[in-house]
Amino acid sequence: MDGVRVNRFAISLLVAGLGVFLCSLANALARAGTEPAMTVYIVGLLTIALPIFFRLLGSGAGAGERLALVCLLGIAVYLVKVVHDAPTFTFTDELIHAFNVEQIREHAHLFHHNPVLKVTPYYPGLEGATSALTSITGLSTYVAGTVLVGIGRLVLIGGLFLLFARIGGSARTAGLAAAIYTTNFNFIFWGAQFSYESLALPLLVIVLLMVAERERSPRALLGEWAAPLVIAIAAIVITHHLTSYALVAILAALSILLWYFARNWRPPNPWPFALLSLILVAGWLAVVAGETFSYLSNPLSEAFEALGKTIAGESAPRGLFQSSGSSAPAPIGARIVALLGVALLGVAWLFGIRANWRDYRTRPWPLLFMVASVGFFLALGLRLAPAAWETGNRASEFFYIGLAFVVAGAGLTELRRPSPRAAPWLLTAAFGIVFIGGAISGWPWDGQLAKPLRVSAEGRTITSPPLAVAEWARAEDLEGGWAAATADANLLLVPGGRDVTTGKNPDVADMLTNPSLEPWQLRMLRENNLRYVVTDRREISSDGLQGYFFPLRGAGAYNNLLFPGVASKFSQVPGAARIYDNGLIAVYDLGGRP
Amino acid sequence: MIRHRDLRLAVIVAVVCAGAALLVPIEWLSLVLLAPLAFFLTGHAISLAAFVKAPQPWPRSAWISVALSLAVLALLPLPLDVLGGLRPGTWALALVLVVIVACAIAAARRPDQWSGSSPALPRPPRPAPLTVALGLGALVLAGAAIALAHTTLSNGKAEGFTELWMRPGAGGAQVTIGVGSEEQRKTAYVVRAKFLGGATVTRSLVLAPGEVSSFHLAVSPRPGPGRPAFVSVLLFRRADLARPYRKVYGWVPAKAQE
Repeated sequence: MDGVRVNRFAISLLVAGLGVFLCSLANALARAGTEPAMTVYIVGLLTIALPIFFRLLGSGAGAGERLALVCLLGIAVYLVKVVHDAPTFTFTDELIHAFNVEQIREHAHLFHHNPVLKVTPYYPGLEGATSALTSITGLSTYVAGTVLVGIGRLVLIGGLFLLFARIGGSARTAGLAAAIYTTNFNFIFWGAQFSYESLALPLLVIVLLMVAERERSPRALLGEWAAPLVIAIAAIVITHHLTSYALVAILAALSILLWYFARNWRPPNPWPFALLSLILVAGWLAVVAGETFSYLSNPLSEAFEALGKTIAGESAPRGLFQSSGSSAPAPIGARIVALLGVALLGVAWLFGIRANWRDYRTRPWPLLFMVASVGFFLALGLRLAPAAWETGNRASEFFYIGLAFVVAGAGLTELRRPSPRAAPWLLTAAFGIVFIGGAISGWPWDGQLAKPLRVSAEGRTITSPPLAVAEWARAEDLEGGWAAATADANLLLVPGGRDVTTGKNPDVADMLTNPSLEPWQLRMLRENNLRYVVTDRREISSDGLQGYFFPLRGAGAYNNLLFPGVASKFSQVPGAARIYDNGLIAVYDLGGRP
Repeated sequence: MIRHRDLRLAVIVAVVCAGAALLVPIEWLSLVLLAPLAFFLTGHAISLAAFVKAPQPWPRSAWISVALSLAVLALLPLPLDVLGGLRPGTWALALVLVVIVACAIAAARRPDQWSGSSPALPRPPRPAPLTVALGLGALVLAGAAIALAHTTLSNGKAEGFTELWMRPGAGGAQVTIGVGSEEQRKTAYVVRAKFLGGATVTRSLVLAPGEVSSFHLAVSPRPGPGRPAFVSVLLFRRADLARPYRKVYGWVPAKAQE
């Protein structure tokens, strides 16, 4: 690298740092209840992304600088998530996985029960890895998990660059494609959370990279890839169910495509690794993680059923930009940006698929990417069915790998033509719209910025009502089963450390929102050994993303309350004791009378 | 292994990193010391063992090494779960063993006349002072962003509240009552505890935001075997003694659990 290039990268570094700071400032403003937090946040995001993309569009940067730029983009966007909620995990899955780490820490062994998401202890890759850091260094689960996921992000974005460079044969394509990948709906928040997919997806990308590199190796050297591939595949299988199934599907598809073009199964066809993946996945399911069947089959069958009903007109489609428990839908301007982003992706895809088909239709990898890019748009359809929304949202992370490659091809085709001098600026602006649109589509509008979990008052710190209950529960160390709404339950896991049940199975959710006491409720509590019931008047308490924070004056629907009966009904239970009350939340001890 | 300088170096660094990370009591420093071993060396050693005939070039080698290190971190808990548990010592030992075993395999696989070394790293750039200044500026901004994220701020719109709780005291002779203020300002309270068939006890207290107070009250009349005492506790704000602010109630057994 010559001096000028280093300086250019250093400028990108400084500007990205400024963008991260602006995002942190926006979150601070939001926590303090001050405007204009959202404007600062969006300016911050664009400050990070646009200069990097503009530099990647140009032909001046070398391969090393392009790799450094996409890594910078990946890490800076990850820091946007970190400054959203430091120093505490506040996403549903994070608290569930953090509980598993705490369990490993306490017992020094794996596979301890998780009462909220029972399947998670059977995929201990992330939690086990985190426990290495917490046990050796003494760091908190939050810090260790944040560092680990950060390393995973670096592996993901750099791995994508190297994969795209190998397949496309161009560092410029690779840089653009990796940058476009950061516009996927889940990149900023969902994919950056402390959750098993955040470790498994980077490993999947590295497996794909190794398979792609293996294809180009001389026959005599193919064996050298075996051990690294087996290790990475095994790690994916024990880390995340969906990613391991995606791995099997991708390797199988790739094997078939390679066979189709070569008309033989000889090396470097990766079918042995597809078969190994399948055997390991099946073995893990059969021996360790049998519960995954019911965990995944229910939502998947519900998703397809809901999609069928929506298509048949038997049920109303889901309104876009609505999350299950979000208190406020995105404003009209944000919706337009998000829809425009998808429309731009669609247009770029049309150009890209044509260019890819022309250049690469006899090559397996680009064909696979083209198929995946079609899958992305099909998965968008799932977002219209209420019960299928989450399935479609999660699938997009995998499909987007192909879409990013295809769309990058479109961008480069446009640049190679005799085009107006404004073309790079227009493409950068389009990237900005897609980037912000992805952020809006992937996360509830009112969850983009932090809410106050702790507040400074007269020089001291006060905590939100659900966090106060969790800290009280930890201090009191009451033995027995707890029943609570989703947000309360997650905090009762961490930091509360309680054995808490929530959700629909058993139907704690309905019990806690029903204002009248019915026999089935007491029966359910008894059958599941749930001694302590946490009643919460806040409607938002069932929202695992937004239910953790202070009620805010003037926040409208965010402060909606359930009927008083949801709490007072438990006073009718003979022998019940009301042992905790903070106004909104009360704890009843149904075994209170000795 | 001894005659291969790169393998020897990998093992020495692994041992030093693991030992130092275990011994250093400062958490962040321990992480800094552990990071090369946990996030690079284990995967690097596996790469050295695997890619003997054709070492991977930079930067692919680095990415594969880091990814394999993550894979090792994910996989190692399975054998550790069976062999001694996931404890600091077993973790450190296991990570070092991975490096030693992988390096031993690399040494065994290398041909006698092997004279190669790890793939050459790119020459580190010699940054100009301006470049260094820009890089430092970026670090300062990122550091400030994280520091700001860790700062607790005031928010006048956040609705404060007060906690009231109770639990039977040890021995059945008393009940413990706790009051925690999560109000935005200093607040004066009155606690009124009424024992069924007995006395009413009143306590006053003033709590600053975030302050907690708990106290014990003797149960009167004392509970007997099979006859727990019932107590109800009301919390009032001194500014509004007509309306109970919080309420808890419960039973105190003759001999409460410790």
